[in-house]
Amino acid sequence: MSNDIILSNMDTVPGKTIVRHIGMAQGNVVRAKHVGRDIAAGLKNIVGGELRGYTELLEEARRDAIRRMVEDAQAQGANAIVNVRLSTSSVTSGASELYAYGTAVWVE
Amino acid sequence: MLSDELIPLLISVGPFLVLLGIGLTFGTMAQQRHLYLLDQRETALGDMLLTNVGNIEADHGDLVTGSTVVAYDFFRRIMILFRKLIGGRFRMHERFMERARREAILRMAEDAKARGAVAVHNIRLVTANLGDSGSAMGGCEVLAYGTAVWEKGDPHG
Repeated sequence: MSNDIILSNMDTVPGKTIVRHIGMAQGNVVRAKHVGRDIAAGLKNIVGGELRGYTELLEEARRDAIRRMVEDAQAQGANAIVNVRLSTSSVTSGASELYAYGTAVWVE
Repeated sequence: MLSDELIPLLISVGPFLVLLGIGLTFGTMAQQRHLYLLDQRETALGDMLLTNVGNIEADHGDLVTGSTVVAYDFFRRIMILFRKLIGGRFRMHERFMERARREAILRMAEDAKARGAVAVHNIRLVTANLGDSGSAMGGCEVLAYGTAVWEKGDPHG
């Protein structure tokens, strides 16, 4: 996802050795729906199936959350993040929180 | 006269029945098409290895994700109301979630394959409810993520 930092959701980074554990890195984004997408999704609610607008919305938001996590890790001087976890929750009706967290490490 | 009572009744119940019909027809059609496409795409994926085992030895790895937001059609949402009265297994819901999960896993695997990976390990599946269907942000999100790995000697993806 990013060229300058390696992300892995395992305890290790494949092909590398962890030299130092730095600490938690995290990033979150709260995104609300927008009207155009909501109307389309409302129509889709009759027919059912995938709500493509929301899928895209959440994908975008997740990329942002991951980017913030990466920035957090870089600020701590890491070059990789291991054990990355992603979660989604609906904080209030109409808004969702995307949260990404992991452990910033230095690998060689 | 019978029609005097029938017409107001039709006006009040009509839209509901139409929505039920639309939901049932299109929902079932979409489901069948989706299942067919899922089968095809899973075949096209070939021998991509998907596991949820961590600590795999490989040359290079990177995070891959795949997700989908799905919602029920009108007919199935009403049927679920009835099911809630009776209790028991929500078979419809099981099939529905299974479909969404396969879609999310496929998207993740296809992303990994497009980048030249040979396997995805340590796969995690997360399901999140985005609030009531029909309300501001209805539907259910299924997310699959894992670490894609490249074979030794392969160029970094």
